[in-house]
Amino acid sequence: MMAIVFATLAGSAAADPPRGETDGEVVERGELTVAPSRRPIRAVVVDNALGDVRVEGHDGDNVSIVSVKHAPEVDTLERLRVTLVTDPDGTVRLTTALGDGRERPLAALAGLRIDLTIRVPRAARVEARIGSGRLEVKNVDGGADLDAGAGSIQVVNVAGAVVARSVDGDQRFTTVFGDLDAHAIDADLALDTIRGRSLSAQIHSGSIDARRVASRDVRLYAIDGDIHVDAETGGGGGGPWRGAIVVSSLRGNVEVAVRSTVRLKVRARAGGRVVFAGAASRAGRDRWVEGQFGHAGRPSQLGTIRLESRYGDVAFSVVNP
Amino acid sequence: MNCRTALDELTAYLDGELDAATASAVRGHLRLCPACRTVAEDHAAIRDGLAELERPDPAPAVWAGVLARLGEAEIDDARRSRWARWFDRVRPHLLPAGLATAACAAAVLFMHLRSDDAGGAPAPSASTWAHDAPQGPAPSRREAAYGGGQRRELATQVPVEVAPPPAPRPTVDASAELAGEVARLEEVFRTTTAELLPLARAEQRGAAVQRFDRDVAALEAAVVRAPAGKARDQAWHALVSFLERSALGEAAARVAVNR
Repeated sequence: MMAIVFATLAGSAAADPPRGETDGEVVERGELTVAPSRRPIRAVVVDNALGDVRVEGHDGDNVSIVSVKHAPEVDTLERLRVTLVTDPDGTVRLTTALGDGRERPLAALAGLRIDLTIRVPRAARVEARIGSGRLEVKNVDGGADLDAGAGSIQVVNVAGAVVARSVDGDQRFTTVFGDLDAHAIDADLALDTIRGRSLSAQIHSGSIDARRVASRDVRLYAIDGDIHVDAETGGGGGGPWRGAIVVSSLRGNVEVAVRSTVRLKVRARAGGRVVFAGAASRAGRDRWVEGQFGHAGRPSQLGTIRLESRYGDVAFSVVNP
Repeated sequence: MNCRTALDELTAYLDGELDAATASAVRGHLRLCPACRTVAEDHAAIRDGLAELERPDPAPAVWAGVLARLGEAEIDDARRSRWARWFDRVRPHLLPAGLATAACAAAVLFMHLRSDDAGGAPAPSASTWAHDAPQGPAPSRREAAYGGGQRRELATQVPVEVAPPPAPRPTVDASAELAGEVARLEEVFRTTTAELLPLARAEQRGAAVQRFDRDVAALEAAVVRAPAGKARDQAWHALVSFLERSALGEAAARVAVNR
C-alpha cells in the first residue's frame, strides 16, 4: 500500500521528451507536476547521486519537477532513470539511477548527470541526498534533512529544523529560522542570519564562519580549523538573555564577537593567547580566564559563554548594538 | 587538485591507468571545473574517434606474393649444399637471398604491427591465414606459407612465436565510479574515526572511560548494522560527531544552559 503513483520522468510522463544535442553531449529535459490527492503533500524525499538538486518552496499545493539529463549519446541518456513515487501519507519520493548496465558499461561518470529542480509546497519538509553535486534548498518552512557526500549544501530562507551532513562538501546557510544542526568532515561551514532556538555546527577539518547568529543555544566545534562567530543576544533590547554560546576548537583559533548589552559571563581557555577586548578579566582555575560583560538584566540572568582552543588563540569582544 | 594537475593526469585518467585515489581526485575536479570537463570530453571524443578508424589491410595478392617468395627462397636454401650456400653469400646470387630476407623482415614487421593493434577490429592472427588450420597448436607464420603437407616439419625447425592478442582496453564505467566514490567516502569516515578515537579516549577519566568505550561500541555497531546509503552515512556522522565532542572534552565540561 505504499506507492499509489509511479512515473518515470521523461519516459511515461513525456512520451517524446525534448532533446538537444551539442558537440558530444545529448541533453534531455523532462517536466512533471504532481498534484495532491487526498492529503496535502507534506514531505518531499529526493535521492540523486548523479547531479544537482535544487528545491524551492512555493505557495501552491503541488510539486513540480524539472529533470535535465546529460549524456554523451542517446543510448546512454535513456539509461538514466528518474523515478517518482507518491505515498498515501503525502510523501513524494524522487530517485535517480543508472541503467542496469547489462547491455554494455556506461560511459564515464563525468559525462553523465541528472539535475533536478523541484518546486514544493512551502510547508513541506524536504529530505534530500546527493553525491557530489550541489544541493540547494530555498524558501521552505517545513525544515530540511540534507545529506551530501562530496557535494555542497546551500540553504536559504528556511524555517523549521534543518539537519545537514556532508563529508567533504562545503555548507552554507543563510537566513534559517529553525534549529540548525550541521556536521561536516572536511569542509567549510558558513552561516549567516541564524534565528532558530539552537545552533549546532561541527566540523573535523575546515573553518566555521558564523555571522548574525541569534540562537539561544549555540555550540560550534572544530577539531582542526578556525571558528569565527558574530552573535547577537536578543536583538539588543536590553532584556535578559539566558542563552549559552560554546565555541571550541582543538587546533584552530576561536574568535567571537557578541552584539549585546545584557549581562554575560565569559570563560575562555587557550593553548595560545586569550584576549578579552573591552572588559576586565581575571585568571581562574586550570588556566581559565573569566570576565563579565554588560549590565542590563538581573545578576541571576546571566548569559553564558565558553570559548576554548587547545592549541590556538581565543579572542572575545562585545560590540554595543 | 587544481586545473594544471588535473590536466596533467587527464590522459592517464581517460585510459584508466590511474590508481583509485588519484582517479577519484581527477573525477572530483572534473565535476567542479566546467573548463577541465570540456577538455576531458574533447580528449575522450578524440580518443574514441581514433579507436574507431579502420586500419587498411593490404590486398590479399600482395600478402600471398610475399609468402610465396619467402617459401621459395627457403626451399632453395634447404636444397643447396653448405658450400653452395657459402658461395651464395659471396656471389652476386646473394641478391635474391637479400631480397628474401628483406621480404621476411617486412612480413614479420607487418604482422607484428597488426598484432599490436589495440583499437578497433581485432587483427587477424597467424591462424587466420592458415585456411585449413586444424585443432591444436596454432601454426607458425612460416608454416602458413606452405600449406598442410610440410607444416609439421617446418614448425619444428623454425619455431616462430605468435604474438598474444592485445589486452582489452580498461573500460570506464559510471556504475563502478559511483561505487568507488561511496568507498572513498567510507574511507574518509574510517580515517577520521581512527584519528579521533585516541584523542577522545585520552579525555576520559575514571569511570568515564568505560562509559565512553560502551558508547563508541554502540555507535560502531550502528554503523555496521545500517544498510548502505543514507542510514550508513548518518551512523558514521553520529560516531564521528560523538568522537569530536569527546575529544574536545565536551562531555566533561558542559555549560549549564539557563532555559
